[in-house]
Amino acid sequence: MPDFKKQLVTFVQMLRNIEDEFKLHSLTPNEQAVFYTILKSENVCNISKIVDESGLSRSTVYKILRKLEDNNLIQAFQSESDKRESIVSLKV
Amino acid sequence: MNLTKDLKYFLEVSITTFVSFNLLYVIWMFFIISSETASGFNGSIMYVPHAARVITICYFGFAALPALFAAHVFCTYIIGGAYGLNNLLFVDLLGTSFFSSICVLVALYAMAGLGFKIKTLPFYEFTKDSVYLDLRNHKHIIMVTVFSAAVHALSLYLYNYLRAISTNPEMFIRFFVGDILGTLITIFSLSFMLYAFFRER
Repeated sequence: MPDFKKQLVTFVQMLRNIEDEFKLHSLTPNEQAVFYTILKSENVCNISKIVDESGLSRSTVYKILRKLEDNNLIQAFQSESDKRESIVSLKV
Repeated sequence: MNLTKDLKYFLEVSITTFVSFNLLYVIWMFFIISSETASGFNGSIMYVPHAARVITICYFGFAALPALFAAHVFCTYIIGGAYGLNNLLFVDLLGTSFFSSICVLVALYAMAGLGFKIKTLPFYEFTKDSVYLDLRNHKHIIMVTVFSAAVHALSLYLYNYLRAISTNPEMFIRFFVGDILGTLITIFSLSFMLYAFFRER
């Protein structure tokens, strides 16, 4: 007896295969999580918030932020109110 | 219990097939055909509903066939007829719908004869040397699309020729190219939509 859901999942896997083939994923899932946390927080966000919302460790978030900055997707600067705090925003 | 499960599966497949074909037919009718009718209609150069045939038959097998045939007749007679796209007699409408519905099945069995088998269809003799079509691989689906477009174009051209509906060979080319382009556009559009969907999550 065939399983309808399994057949649909196979179809979705085929579509995802196309994404992989054409390299639509320019970011890894962790990078996407960080990127969309910044995007959701109206473009300006502090690092503690990214760590809380993404569920990633602080060191992983720092590595990812550095990569995103190298790729010219975000920019980091010091907070004016708290000099110890870094703020990141999207580079649009 | 098994009968209930079978019936549930058949209903799920039938509804999915019928709705997806209707959806693609409406998209095709409103967005694509309007740019083609001006030059005389000898078959669409981008027939997106062919994607519904390929996808449903490949993934659901025989279970999708009745709904596919019903969707063909419904779309051509009711929706197409309402917008002046159906010039066929009802018997010819049934005939062309039948050939259009089975073209993917015929293509799959023809491919099985060449050694490319698919696990969703019965009547095959599977051996250790069998080469299976991988339904997760879009290249295999594209290969089925090309074969089925050829079968579809040839069968409809012969039907139209024998029934003296049309003898224009341009129709064969347009059906062949139209089915391939339509299916590719649909699959790639779905892939981009899926990417956008997961990206937002």
